[in-house]
Amino acid sequence: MKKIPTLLILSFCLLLTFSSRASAVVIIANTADDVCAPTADPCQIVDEVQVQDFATLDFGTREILLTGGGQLNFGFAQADLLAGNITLSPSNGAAINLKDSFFGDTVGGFVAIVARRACSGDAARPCTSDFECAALGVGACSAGPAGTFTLNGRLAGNANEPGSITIFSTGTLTIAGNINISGDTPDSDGGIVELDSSQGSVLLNNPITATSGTQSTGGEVIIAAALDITTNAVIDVSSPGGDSEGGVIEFDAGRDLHVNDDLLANGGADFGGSILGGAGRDLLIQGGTSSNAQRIEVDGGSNSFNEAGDAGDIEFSALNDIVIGPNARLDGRGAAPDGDGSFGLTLDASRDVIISGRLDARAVGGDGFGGNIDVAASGAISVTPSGLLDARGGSGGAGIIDLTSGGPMNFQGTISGTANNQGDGAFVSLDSSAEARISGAIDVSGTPTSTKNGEIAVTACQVVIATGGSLVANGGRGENILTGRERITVEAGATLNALGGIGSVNTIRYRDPNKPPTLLGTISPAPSLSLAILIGCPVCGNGEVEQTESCDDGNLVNGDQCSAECQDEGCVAETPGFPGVSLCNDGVGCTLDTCNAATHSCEHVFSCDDGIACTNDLCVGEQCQNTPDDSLCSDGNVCTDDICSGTTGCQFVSVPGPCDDGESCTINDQCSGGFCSGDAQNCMICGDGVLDNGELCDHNGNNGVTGDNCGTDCTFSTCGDPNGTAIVTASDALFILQAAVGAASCDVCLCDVLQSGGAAITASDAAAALRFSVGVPITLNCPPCQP
Amino acid sequence: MTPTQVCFSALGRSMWAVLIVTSFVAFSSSAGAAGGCGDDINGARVACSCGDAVVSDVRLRPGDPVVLGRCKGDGLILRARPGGESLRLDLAGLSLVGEGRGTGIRVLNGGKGGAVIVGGKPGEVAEIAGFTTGIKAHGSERIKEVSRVVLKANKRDGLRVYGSPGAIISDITTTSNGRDGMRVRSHGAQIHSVDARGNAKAGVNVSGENARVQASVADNKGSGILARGRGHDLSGIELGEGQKADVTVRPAK
Repeated sequence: MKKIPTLLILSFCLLLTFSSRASAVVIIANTADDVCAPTADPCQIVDEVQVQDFATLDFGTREILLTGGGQLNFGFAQADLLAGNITLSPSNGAAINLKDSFFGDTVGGFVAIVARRACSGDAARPCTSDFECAALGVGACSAGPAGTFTLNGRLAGNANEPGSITIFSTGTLTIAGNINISGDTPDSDGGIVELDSSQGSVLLNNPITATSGTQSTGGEVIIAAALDITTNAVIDVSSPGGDSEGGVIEFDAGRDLHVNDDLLANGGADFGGSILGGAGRDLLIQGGTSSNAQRIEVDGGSNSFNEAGDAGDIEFSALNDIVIGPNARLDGRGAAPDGDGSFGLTLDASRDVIISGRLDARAVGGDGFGGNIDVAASGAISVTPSGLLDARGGSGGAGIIDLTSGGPMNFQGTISGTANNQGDGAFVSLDSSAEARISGAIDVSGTPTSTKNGEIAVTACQVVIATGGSLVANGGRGENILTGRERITVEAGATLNALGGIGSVNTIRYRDPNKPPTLLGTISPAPSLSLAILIGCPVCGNGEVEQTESCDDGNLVNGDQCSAECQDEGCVAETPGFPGVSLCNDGVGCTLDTCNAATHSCEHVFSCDDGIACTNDLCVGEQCQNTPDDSLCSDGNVCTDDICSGTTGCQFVSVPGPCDDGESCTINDQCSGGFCSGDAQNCMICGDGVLDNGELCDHNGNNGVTGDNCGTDCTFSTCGDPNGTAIVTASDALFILQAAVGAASCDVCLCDVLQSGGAAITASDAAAALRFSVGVPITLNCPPCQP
Repeated sequence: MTPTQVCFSALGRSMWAVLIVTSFVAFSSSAGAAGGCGDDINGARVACSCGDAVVSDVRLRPGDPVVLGRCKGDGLILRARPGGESLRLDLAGLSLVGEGRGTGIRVLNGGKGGAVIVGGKPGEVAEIAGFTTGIKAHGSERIKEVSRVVLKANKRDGLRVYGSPGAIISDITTTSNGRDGMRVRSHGAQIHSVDARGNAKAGVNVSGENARVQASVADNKGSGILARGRGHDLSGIELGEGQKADVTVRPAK
């Protein structure tokens, strides 16, 4: 057989390697053109694409459709994919493969996928935010495609060393395929998944798994959206056991956060993980069923040596309401034997909190500390009958439970704050600026032989322990404390027990001796009553409009434009849902709603002012949008980068680079530490009036003027030579005579040639200069010149 | 066999041709490479740009693209090779500035023992501002040391370190961040010479066990120091005014 020349084979192999579509199996991609023709829109991917290390596939704002057998493979290094709308819908289920082999281990890649729009002022300019376009003066990021990302297939990235995938979209981001980016050896951490929609919402319909090995740390899942985040599937960043830590799940929703399925960040013998969630409007955790509870967990675990882990943190905050549904379980439990419950189980709402589910921060074993549960609302707090708050502990003692509301508090649920194994009971505080009504059960009993034990403190304007309500602080030295700034009522059928050792007490503190507490329930032991100096509460009918009142006409009668509850009846009529919503609340986030007491009607004034001078405050979709605008921070200093922080206003960051410090005698001016400075140089400029290096004098425009001691070269003129000609002549003698009689001005270092004292310049000086000029051997001796 | 494998088979024992093809393919693979940076990338310095992976030790220079202008996403990503030595990032007193997204310095793999991030030589202090998080390290042994850095005006935390037992965090100013100035969850973290001011929540939020904290805190809207867990040493705290609470310790008893 004729031997095929090596060069021919080599050429064919090279052609094959670089042919973008010659292979129906794998496309090697360094650029977008390797995948599709430059004008293909949409770019249809039906083959497997191997994206090279550090490649950037930039499709501009073209659409990507991955269908059929298409798949994106990313190696272990970094790669970026940027396009307009991106939809990945493979027929075989595998959309993205995020790992490669490296020296026998599998290692995940670090990949960013960005779905973009275009600037309104330049359709050829892709963008993901208005800031990018504004910075270039080309409008807003509002043109071209919607910038959506949809994953309908599977993303596989679990590896020895899992990587990271970041998906930025401008529009809606939808995950409808499983994402698995977990560690698959004992010392593998979980991977990182970031989903971010800069103008739209994120919808999670399939699970995300970023768990770790048994000796490592669970992964990170971070989801942010300008609008809503909705999770309809499980997110799991747990560590399965051993000496491991749970991972982090974090949400940042510009509008509503809907958590409809499990969030798992359990740990091993180290710590449970962290679940952090923030919503610009409402935060709703309402998944699960009565037989299959919704699990939000940051529990500690244990290892084979029976070492126990502490629980992690759960922190949720909302600018409107937080609602915990009846089948939701927020669990931060410490493992047996001595793991501590979560010290950070926190709900913080700017309006109302409604708890129908369970918040559990207990220490499961006999030796741990119970954890801390903090619930704060500027509005009302409601714990329904199914609501349970649990901070039980072991020998370390039970934990701390704080409920604080600016509005009414209605507690119908259960608080468990007992301790066993010699531990103290919990400290429970219920504090309302309005009425606190307790019809549920609170128990902070500790071990009878313990010396401190638990405490229940209820503080409000109106304290009502309603029928069925039960406060129990039994144990060694328990205490129930009721503090009412206006009124205290313990209804018949309510119970206060502090039955234990010496020091167990029921204490009732009230402000007005004319309004003593009404005590009809069972209080054991008998309460200690005391008057206390306390801040008063709004009193309807006293003629003073106080705190939450909108009117007070001095009576408690309806139908006279001010109701018996001291609310303006006209404004109430315009507020459907009042008092469940605040008076005049029109449901529009951009308006400041007030009740005009003169017209008895509501007024709605546009107000999105966040108090930060450098943000552009707009009402978009009935919600305030406060967008940082760096141009409002300009300080005119090229040595700083001027940033508008949406929370703290203008900030200035030093930057390097050339500048001009305004000094003519410096060179190489550079920015340093936010200031401009240069290197000093010898820049003698004679005649500028500045005594520079190398000059003896500089009298600006007078240099070289007859009688001025400074010559045109910024050196002193000679004694006897006021004309500055370097020789003494008869003209100089004449000028000196003129100076002697006051007809001219002459510096003494030029004209007082005899230093004769008295009148500095005399006719004798003129005569001496004249004799010198004609060669008479005399000495001219002037005083020294001064600059 | 794939067509490429057929090619190599056909070349037979012609090793020179194989070498040519291999090196050509390798070159073309890296021809589009623009993401790995450091002072020693195959013997040469590759300047860092926004979003680059730092794969070797690096001391930034004023002309590096990453310190000129703003980063749309991440600033720098530290990513040592699997099994590689600890990476050292020297910011040379320069600034990384973001557009409100991403992480200023994200540590994916700091190398053996964790990465060392310094703001510069003694006397030099770097700034990291305007990102979602200033510095973030999540996982085992990501960070060994962070020092001489100002973390300013980041949308959430100035610094967040989860894991990295014994991490040293020193000579840090963290101010005007949108959540915690610093959030550390670790065993035995050493946090000293920290100035945490004007943050939207806690100045220094430390959890885990046996952390040692020496910090000055003032004007933070949450607690100046929020310490959760056991065995923390808070003896080096200086308290300023303007905070919701000076020091919050859990468990309190």
